[in-house]
Amino acid sequence: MTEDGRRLFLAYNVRSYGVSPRAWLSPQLTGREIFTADYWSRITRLAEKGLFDAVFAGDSSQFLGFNRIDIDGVDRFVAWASVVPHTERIGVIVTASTTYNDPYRLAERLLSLDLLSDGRVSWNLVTTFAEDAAANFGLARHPERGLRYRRAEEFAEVVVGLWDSAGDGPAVAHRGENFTVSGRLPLPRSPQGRPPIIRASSSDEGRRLAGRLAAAVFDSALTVTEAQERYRKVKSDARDAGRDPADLAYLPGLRIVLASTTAEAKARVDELFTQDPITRSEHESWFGGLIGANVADLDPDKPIPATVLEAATAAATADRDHLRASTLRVLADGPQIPLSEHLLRTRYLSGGHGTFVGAPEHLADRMEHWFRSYAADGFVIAPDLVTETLPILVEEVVPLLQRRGIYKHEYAASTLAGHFRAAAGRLSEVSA
Amino acid sequence: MGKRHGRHIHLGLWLTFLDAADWRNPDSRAEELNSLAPYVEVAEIGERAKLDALIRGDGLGLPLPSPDQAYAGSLEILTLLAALAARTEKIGLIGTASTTFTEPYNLARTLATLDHISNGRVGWNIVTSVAGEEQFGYDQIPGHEERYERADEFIEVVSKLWASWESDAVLVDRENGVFFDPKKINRIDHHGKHFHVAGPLNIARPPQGRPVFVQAGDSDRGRNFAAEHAELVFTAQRDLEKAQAFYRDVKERVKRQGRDESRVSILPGLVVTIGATEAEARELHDQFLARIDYERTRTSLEALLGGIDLSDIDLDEQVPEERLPEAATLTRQPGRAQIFVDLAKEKGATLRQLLQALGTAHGHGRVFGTPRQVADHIERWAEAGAADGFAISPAQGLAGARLFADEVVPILQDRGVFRREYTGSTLRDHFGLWPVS
Repeated sequence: MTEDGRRLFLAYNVRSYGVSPRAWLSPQLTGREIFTADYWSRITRLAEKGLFDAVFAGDSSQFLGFNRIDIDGVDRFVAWASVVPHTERIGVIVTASTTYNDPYRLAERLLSLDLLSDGRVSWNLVTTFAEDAAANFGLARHPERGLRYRRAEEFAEVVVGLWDSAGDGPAVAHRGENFTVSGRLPLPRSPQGRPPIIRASSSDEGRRLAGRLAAAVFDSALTVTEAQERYRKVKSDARDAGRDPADLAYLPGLRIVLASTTAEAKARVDELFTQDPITRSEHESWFGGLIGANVADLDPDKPIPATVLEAATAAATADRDHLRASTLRVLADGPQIPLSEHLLRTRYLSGGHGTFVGAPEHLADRMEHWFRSYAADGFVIAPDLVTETLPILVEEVVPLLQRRGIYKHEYAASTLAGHFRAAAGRLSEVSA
Repeated sequence: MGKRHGRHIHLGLWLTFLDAADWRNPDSRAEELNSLAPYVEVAEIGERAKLDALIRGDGLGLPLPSPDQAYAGSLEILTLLAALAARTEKIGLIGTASTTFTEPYNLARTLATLDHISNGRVGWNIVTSVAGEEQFGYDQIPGHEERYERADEFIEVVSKLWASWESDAVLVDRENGVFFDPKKINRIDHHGKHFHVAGPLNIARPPQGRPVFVQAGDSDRGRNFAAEHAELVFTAQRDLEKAQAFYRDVKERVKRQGRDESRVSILPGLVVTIGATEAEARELHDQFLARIDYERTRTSLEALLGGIDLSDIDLDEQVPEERLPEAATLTRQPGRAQIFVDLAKEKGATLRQLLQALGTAHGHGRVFGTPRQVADHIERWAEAGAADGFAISPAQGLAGARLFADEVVPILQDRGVFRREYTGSTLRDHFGLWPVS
């Protein structure tokens, strides 16, 4: 434990077989594992052995296309419910959209899974970013961001009201802009009080909801300075809402390519980039989107024109797209290198998430540095290869973190809410 | 082998563990109503006895053997079944989900995933819901006809979604680096009265092609719906002759739809009380009747019969005919209401008898006796063309489920009318259903 009693929170992002589009090609896999209960429980049991606080998976309400098996369509409730009987302490984080669900149904499903797991469930509240999902739900178009966020706030109010009605709490009588719901959930109260809510956004609108209702914020931050700034904002949101900042954990995502040596890890990324034409073209298309220009139109041997970067930064600022803005800042502040070199380097940027490519010792350094500098209360770790990476984390990285006094030696709590509380730092401990 | 078309009797087990009338008993484990452990025990009992399936109703939909559905617990069914799938290997998992209060895309995903992780053991009990409008923002529940109309289109949409991936769309072709075959995953572009869904689904076709379709609607509209869609039909039947008539009628309607009626199984519910001797079983049954909360059950009956008032009727009087509704006109559960109207009109049942029928079995058949007598009853109904099997609801809770598995099932096995081992691995296999093309 650290001097101030904080403990690093770790969640493992089981993004199908991994973030890498070639993850399914691993010789350890048949490629059909995601459809089996065994896969999900095998990963989760191993993560539990490494005292991970939770497993996590994102979600999507549409078919993402033929080159995307990184976010599969496996129903998250079903997958995590099948894991629960085979585990005891590790939490499960269910991602569910407020745009394409109904609040009563979702409140019922989350509380049911929470009861079945004796208090190990958390809801990762998303509003769905992908536009094509609308066509699967009878909508002419995906609701714009403002509408989605308003609906999300009302949705969360209703869900929390229903959770509070459980046991012998007061019945809900809600009539709002999006929902009319009355009644109670005929279930016992959650062993956690309420299943903790995670808000995966640090935009202003997302933060308001998080400050009032969430137990954790998932975020993406590229640099430690940026993360520290967000950490302080998130903690003040909790304080402003009359809550203890320690009740709101700040958890940036961390994409990792982990191997015994840095050279080996880098080679894995390079190989992916050079050998998988889809990865390369998707990356170029992502990079083009980031700088707001078609990569093929620019001279690969020259630096990105300043005008292009300025326009892109202005557009990102106008859209309040801080993820994009901060990535652009990293590009603008870096050395003036040719576009082709940028493309090679940004392989490691992973669309705005903090990225690590290297060996266990360095990963422990990276996490410890961020944790001790109040840039994070913990991390949501997304590996390029799920099955290859987890044993290294459990057997090599976790012992390093334990020796450095920032990671637990046993679970201190039996609920996921307890795991969150053990991790989150207070605002007063942050030097401004 | 049994004599009925050379096929076995099918037995489902209601996934409940409490004796509804006896939950106050100190060892009833009522505290565990909404936790996993007792359901795992029921599932293990059912699987050990090689039963076809576990069956779980819904607080919003299918009535359970108790008038107060709270005794059945309120855990969301498909999530509970997912947890049980991880603890069982062969037994089918039939869960209830409403076409009135869910989105087809979401439900198709959930059921497909459940079918995947259970290796093809899922049945979907399709309900249009008899309650729930307040939780889902309706001023009043849509009418019977409208609910069924939506259900028809709902089934069309989810079926298209399940078929939107051809069965060999997942290639995992390492050599060429191709995971999916793009030619075998297709949009559905459904545009109907109730739904607009583009598709494709975001998960591969489930192992059974789609879940087994299960339906429980005794009304005329419900029977037609079953004839068109259902592969298993649940029904509430108390009387052998009426059950035979229902059986003939539904099979006839199935045939008229151009479907093979021998591949549709009809399973009446059966509330079972088992004793070592007939006298003991009778005594247990009498105790069961004695524990009914008549006041509470009368309220349920009044609601079922369309909100009539029975407060001035003595328990041992008959309900005056003019108070009884025209069941077919009721919005909620007209088929179930009909059973009680018939009991009152045709059998001259007293209010007490009506309340006993509702309070112990919610209109389902009841049987009490020794294991042999219970087995006789099951076999007799099957031989008489009244049932292809039963959805068993043990009156004695978990202990009753054990008695049924350990005492009744072996008799049926010895008589050659029930399987000794699972011969297949999917729910479709257990019921001898056709694969989905």
